[in-house]
Amino acid sequence: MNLLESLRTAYRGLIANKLRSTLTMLGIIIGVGAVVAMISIGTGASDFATSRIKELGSNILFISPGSPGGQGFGGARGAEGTQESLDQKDAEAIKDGISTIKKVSPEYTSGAQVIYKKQNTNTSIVGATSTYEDVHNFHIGSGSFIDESDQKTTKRVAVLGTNVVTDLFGKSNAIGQTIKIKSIPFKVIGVMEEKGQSGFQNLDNQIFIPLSAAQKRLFGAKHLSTISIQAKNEEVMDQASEDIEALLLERHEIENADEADFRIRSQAEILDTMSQVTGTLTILLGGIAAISLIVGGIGIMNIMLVSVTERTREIGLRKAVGAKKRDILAQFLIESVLLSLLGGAIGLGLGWGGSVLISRIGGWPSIISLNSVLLAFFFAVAIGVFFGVWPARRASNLNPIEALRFE
Amino acid sequence: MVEAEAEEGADHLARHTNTVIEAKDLVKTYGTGDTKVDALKGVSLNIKEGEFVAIMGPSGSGKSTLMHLLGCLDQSTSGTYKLDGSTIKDLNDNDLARIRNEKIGFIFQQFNLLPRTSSLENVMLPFTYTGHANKNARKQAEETLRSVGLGKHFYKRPSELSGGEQQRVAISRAMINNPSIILADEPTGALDTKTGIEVLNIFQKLNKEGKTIILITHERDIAAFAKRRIHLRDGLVESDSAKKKKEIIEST
Ligand SMILES: Nc1ncnc2c1ncn2[C@@H]1O[C@H](COP(=O)(O)OP(=O)(O)OP(=O)(O)O)[C@@H](O)[C@H]1O
Ligand SMILES: [Mg+2]
Repeated sequence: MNLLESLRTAYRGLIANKLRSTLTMLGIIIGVGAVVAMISIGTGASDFATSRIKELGSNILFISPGSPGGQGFGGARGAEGTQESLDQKDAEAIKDGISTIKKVSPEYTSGAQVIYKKQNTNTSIVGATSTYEDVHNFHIGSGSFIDESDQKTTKRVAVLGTNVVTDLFGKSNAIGQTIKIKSIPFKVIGVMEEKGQSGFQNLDNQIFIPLSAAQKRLFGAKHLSTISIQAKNEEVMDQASEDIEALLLERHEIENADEADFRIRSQAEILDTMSQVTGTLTILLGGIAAISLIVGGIGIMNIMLVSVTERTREIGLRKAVGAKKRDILAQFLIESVLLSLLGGAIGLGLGWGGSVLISRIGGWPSIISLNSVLLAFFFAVAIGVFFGVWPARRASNLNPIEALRFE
Repeated sequence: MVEAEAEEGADHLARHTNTVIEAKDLVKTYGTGDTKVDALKGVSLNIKEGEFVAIMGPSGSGKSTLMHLLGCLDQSTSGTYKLDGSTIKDLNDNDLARIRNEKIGFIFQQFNLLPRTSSLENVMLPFTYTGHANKNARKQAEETLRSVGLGKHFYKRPSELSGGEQQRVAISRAMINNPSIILADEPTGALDTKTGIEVLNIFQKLNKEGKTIILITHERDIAAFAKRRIHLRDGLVESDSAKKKKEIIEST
């Protein structure tokens, strides 16, 4: 019996019981889906971590308002802090007072509506200074970035991320045009280079304006949401961190470091927190995957046993017209593998969709790799074979006459 | 010993050349202990190529059991069975499957067609297990179905066919691999007399083409189609028309 014919026979067997086949596949669908989601989130997270470190270097520190133990992560987002404990003077004090650091980038980030003619969009507005580019390793693409005089004169100028340009201007030139942020006109002086999705956020979806303009003209704030710091090199990171802590504690008149109203974290620490969370998620998904694959496999075995019993007469007949043991074995094995493979394919789709959804909603990086696709199929086939062998063997060992007599 | 000589006598008389079926002292016991049933208690018979044999006997006399042994669907408890010169006991599972596929066409009282499957595909089923690709499979199946008068029913499923038509599909399936022996267990049992006769005409035609036909029947007028009749009773051969003729010859 050739493979194509076996496949056709198996396919017919499955089609004859659509609902039953679908329900049987559910376990495999969930299991494989979880495996795929698990791997894609896992690889996404570690890819993200390594690329961020490569990109920013390992000499970056973020200071954000809040208590040291508070909030999971979000330092990279900048706008997380609700406390108003950091201000421009802190940033200047750090810059002037600590020798181990190279550059300081004070930032104030908030969301606002932006209008150009009839187009409007909601984006994050980053109040930044000229140091932002270097500290974040995120550079101007065309035009110019905010400079010191813009900052001093609270000038209403804006540098747009590429997404914002597309949203507001389509394909026409943005530089020189005037946009309105919260109804206040800003002149576009530059467009950033394209950076793309960076795990938590799309970096191209931001507008940079002078920090002073953000604080005074737009949001009426005196505090900062983040101070990003570039240390001189990796070796002095710990030293820099300690010095900054001491300095800020003194400035804020706090004696006990546990009661600090700010947090200092390095890029690595942030990524660490993130990988801990993804690790937990991975274990959770792994557990779901393992359990549902086993349950799914047992479901397949069960349905195959039912199928063998139901088709006992058919098996008897096939043997009577010359089917060998291995023909019957192959027929049922192919059927169970087809069942689990189909479930695996659907699970792959769902796992894929699911991890994309998680990325979208949670700003979670995820990558569907060839490996996860292969692994999903491997699992599906393995389950189909493992749980299908026993029912198939039972079928193949039936005595033709007894099988034909079966009621 | 005496019996063997008698068989040889029959041999001459019938002028058949090859003995295709040689069964000696076939015993088949089902179950063990209290539920033990001796379905066959020592059946010996020889059947030559091209014979048309009817097996008769009361219900429970072991006709079907014998047929299953002859068709290599089951193995005897003791005794020897040679088919085309090879001893069945010595063959493995795969060999038996090949014999069932190529040498024997089996027809059941209950047709045993695959449900939800067209006539054409039912007929082609033995090809599935033939082991070599057959480009003319479809054509051959169509031809066979036409030869039994089912030219219009290629794509009908068993549930859409009458009993007689279903049995003719089953016969086509038994014929498709051109086996030398056709075994039929009450092929007309589920049919009315008229359709039964039609089916028997097919067997006669096949017999004329040189095939060995063995069929089980309860009905005398159906048995009349056969040149040789074997009666079973309680798992033993009660009478065999081939031997009777021999006896008649001896007594004259
Ligand atoms: N699988 C089996 N297990 C136990 N006993 C069996 C089995 N098959 C047949 N028998 C018994 O063997 C005996 C012969 O059965 P068999 O089917 O050969 O009879 P038969 O001559 O074909 O009868 P019928 O004309 O009713 O079909 C019967 O007593 C039957 O009960
Ligand atoms: Mg019977």
